[in-house]
Amino acid sequence: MNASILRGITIRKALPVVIVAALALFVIPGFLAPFWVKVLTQATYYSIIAGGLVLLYGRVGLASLGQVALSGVGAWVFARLYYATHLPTPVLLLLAGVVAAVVGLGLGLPALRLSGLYLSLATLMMAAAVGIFISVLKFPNGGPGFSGIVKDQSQRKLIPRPSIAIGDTAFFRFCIVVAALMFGLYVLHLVTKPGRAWASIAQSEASALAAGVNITVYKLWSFVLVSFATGVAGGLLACDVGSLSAANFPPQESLILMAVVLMAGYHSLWGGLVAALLARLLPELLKNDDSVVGWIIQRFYGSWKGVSATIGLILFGIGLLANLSGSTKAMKKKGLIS
Amino acid sequence: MPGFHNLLQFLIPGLALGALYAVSGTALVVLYRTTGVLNFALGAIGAFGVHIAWQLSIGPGLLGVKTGPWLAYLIGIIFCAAISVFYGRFLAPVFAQRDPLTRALGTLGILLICLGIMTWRWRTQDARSLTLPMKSWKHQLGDFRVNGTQLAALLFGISMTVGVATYLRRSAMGTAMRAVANDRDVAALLGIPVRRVESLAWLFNGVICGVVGLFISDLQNNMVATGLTFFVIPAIAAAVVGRLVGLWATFAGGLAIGVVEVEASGFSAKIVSDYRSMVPFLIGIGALIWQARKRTIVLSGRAMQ
Repeated sequence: MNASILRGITIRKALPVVIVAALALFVIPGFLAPFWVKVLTQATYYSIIAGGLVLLYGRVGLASLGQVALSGVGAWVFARLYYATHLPTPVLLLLAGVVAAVVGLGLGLPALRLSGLYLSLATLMMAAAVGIFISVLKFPNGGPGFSGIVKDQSQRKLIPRPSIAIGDTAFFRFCIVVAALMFGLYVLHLVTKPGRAWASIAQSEASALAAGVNITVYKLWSFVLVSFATGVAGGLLACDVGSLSAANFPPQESLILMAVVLMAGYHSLWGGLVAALLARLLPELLKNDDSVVGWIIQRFYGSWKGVSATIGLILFGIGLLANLSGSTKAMKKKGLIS
Repeated sequence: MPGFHNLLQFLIPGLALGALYAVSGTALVVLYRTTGVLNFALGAIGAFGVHIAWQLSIGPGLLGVKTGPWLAYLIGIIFCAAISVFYGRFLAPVFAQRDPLTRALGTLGILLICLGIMTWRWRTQDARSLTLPMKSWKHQLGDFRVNGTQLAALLFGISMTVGVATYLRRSAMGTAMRAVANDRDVAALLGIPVRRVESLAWLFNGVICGVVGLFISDLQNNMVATGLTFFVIPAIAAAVVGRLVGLWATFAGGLAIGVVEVEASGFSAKIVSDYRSMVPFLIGIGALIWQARKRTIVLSGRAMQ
């Protein structure tokens, strides 16, 4: 087993990972203002979700438009279990991941029969249904019963961060470590047997079947794996914000996720990282005049008050269209389409 | 359980909402059949048009111009048609050779751009609403009251679907649309102006976006950009019932979804009325899975879907 894993991971591939991890763990927290550490914390757990979609869409060929709703499930389970049991954060994260994986198994069942556009529609509708379920059920805030909701504002309790990572910087490092573990899980799968099975399914289901790949198992496996990690990311979000609401998971988020993943590139897991930076860091860079972008614009125009965060939506839309037309041109050049 | 009396009470509102799902689904189906594009941006374009109409008639005006309500609605609808045709004429042909998923994802770009501009220009915190003039017309039907918007939406939905189905079957343009839907390349070879036919389908789509957007903002008594944008998901559910190709199945699906969703609000059991918005999605998912119960693996070539 070790040999087959090592064959896939070369020094050339591992070095950038080590550099990025070292930068994130030791350099960034020391240099950046607390606000930007918070933004990067969000980007970190978002990258787990984006990396999952990269794996599903780029490697297995399954387009899911419901990933953010799945992270909402993870966050809900994390919050509920925290109030019920007060277990340590890592254990809760693991449990949130496991429950999300079970839900993801349900999400993956239609994928056995559907593909392409139809699968994306099924996942979109499931995400919408889960979104309504969560917004009616509401997020637990320390109350009794199944839903765990207490009406009295003064009775509400916040979800704490892990005891080893109370401060913003420490929590950022904690998120980096969890994200590294999740990406490690993705890589481990991609370089071993499941990765090869997924690649063959993505190429052609018929030839995969002929080659003896168990399509059912490997498709479901990909959904379960990605849902697990996405659930864990939801748990991190719950820790980060302390008190959750349906507004943390707006319906357009899953579509934005698809757009940024398409923009960032979905053939490599690095795309997940870039997508997260696009979705979480870019709008803040444009919004805040103390950012680098703000500083540059102030140099040229004298003053700049920052633009609305929704400018990100417009940019993602344009970026998505540009990316699709670019990839179409590339395919035409290669003669893949006429 | 609600009594028969209650069921009747919610029937007309349910049919009105259902007719709007149905006509949106029909617009999606016509566009999908003609161009192979599933328009995720249907709701977003409609929402944009409604906001323009609101700005012109109720809001502070656009570029210093304020108009009466009817002209504002017309401008809103024309605006929707313009966005739709612009996308169909200049952007959609770029992805015309790609797979259905990629073509659909392209419209996601339009959705995000529209939503971005709307939430930027019209802040969501400020409550806005748009009431159509016909809402003041009310009719007592037995014990129940029906308002003009509900009736107009129902009539619009039915007449539009019947009209479109007849048009596709009888007119020369309808035949051309069906030809393009069957095979774009062969249709072009036969001398059918493919681009013009496709533009017409986009134009129809845009007009429907605008009209449905106006009706929905009135029926729901509020206009929230995100809510209107995601009106497209139940419309897709209706279209999925017709496998994205059948007009009548789509129509029936839309009506059924609307009626079940609104009827569910009459149940005294809170669990049913709270979760009733899930109805369209559950029906849509069910339809997708039911249609895919026979598994087919396509080796190569274009599969007819």
